[in-house]
Amino acid sequence: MLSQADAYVFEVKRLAERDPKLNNTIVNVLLRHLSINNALTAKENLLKGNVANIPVPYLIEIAKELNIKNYEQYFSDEDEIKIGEVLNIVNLIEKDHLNIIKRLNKIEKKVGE
Amino acid sequence: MYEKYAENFLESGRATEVKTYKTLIGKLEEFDKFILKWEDEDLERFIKLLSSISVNSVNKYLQFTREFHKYVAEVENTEYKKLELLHDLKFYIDLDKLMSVTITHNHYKTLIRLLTIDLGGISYNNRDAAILVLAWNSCDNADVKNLMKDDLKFYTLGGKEICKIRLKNRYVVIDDKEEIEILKRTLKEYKYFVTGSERKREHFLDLRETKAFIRPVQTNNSNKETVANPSELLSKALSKVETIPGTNLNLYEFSIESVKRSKIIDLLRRKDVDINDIKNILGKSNSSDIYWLSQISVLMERQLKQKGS
Repeated sequence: MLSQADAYVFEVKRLAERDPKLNNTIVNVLLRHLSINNALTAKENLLKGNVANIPVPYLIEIAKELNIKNYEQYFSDEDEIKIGEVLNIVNLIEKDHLNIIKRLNKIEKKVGE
Repeated sequence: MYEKYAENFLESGRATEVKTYKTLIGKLEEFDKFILKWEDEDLERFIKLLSSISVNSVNKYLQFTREFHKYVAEVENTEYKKLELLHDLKFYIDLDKLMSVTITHNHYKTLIRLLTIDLGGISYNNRDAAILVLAWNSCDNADVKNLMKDDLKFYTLGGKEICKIRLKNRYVVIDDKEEIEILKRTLKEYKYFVTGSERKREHFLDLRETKAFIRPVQTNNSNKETVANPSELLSKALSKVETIPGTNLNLYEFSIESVKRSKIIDLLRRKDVDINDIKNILGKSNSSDIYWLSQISVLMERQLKQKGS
């Protein structure tokens, strides 16, 4: 659970209002983890201040992509553990995809030779 | 009436899309007035007759009609007069036809179930349902065709199963239980059930063991890794379903594109969603696309309310 939910939402909203492109950034982060319908719902909830159902790691990722300075202040130590768990899974999957691409490139290179 | 122009025109290199031009010339043959005698009102009537279901196709038909008109004028050595439409392009969309190829979320869920066939406790033809699932989740024909088994990763996050799909330049996440089941079953599927017809009895075909997610059936004269056209497969499968009782859906005319468009319309029906976000997700769609699709979504909402669903 976000320890300072209101302050976090306030900061995200402030940035998104200042630069409409950041609205897209928020949705794009959510789309990495959620289906289209759920990503859109999560974004609307977030801007309404309702962050209870949005996993903390996604909130952190949004904060990072929006370049919110000292974003850690909004999260508790417990959150940090959860973040590690989720990001590990997500990174592993994306790393796996990258490895496949690398392997394919190598094979293609060999075939080309 | 147009025979003497058509052949040379189609070979002249001016006909950029021969198939579309052939359809257009066919429609001109049925029209009651020769193109060189047309006024703006005739162009208006003709474009309306073509029953287009998107602004893009109205625009394409308009440009192609003008090009052909110009060509006929050149051959006959008469002055070419550029004709204009009297209304905005949206006016020429055949709404009834568009609605007949637009599904709601409920229709989509029903179709997933109707596309799979249960025989002796085993589910077959998940491949067709999987194409529908991918289209509903914003994949286009090329995405579906080029998707490999390795591009799908299943994992559990916060107790919820998720499938992350890697496309050429983006990821798509699927988190609906039923959709995930269809994708998983498609990966394991090795037989395809062909329903019987007057000429042929029902039978099974083997699915080729390839790296592709949507795999072709085994035939003697092909060793292709991927299916040629997933949209056509979906169309064929849906035409066997024929229709959903209580709707005016024309499933014979469905394609991956119409399913994708239906999804956008479905999203636009949601009151809590920012249109700009939908535009962002769709990427290539411009404001005018979204504008007319929102109008369709309002119309759809009204129709569904009238039906009480």
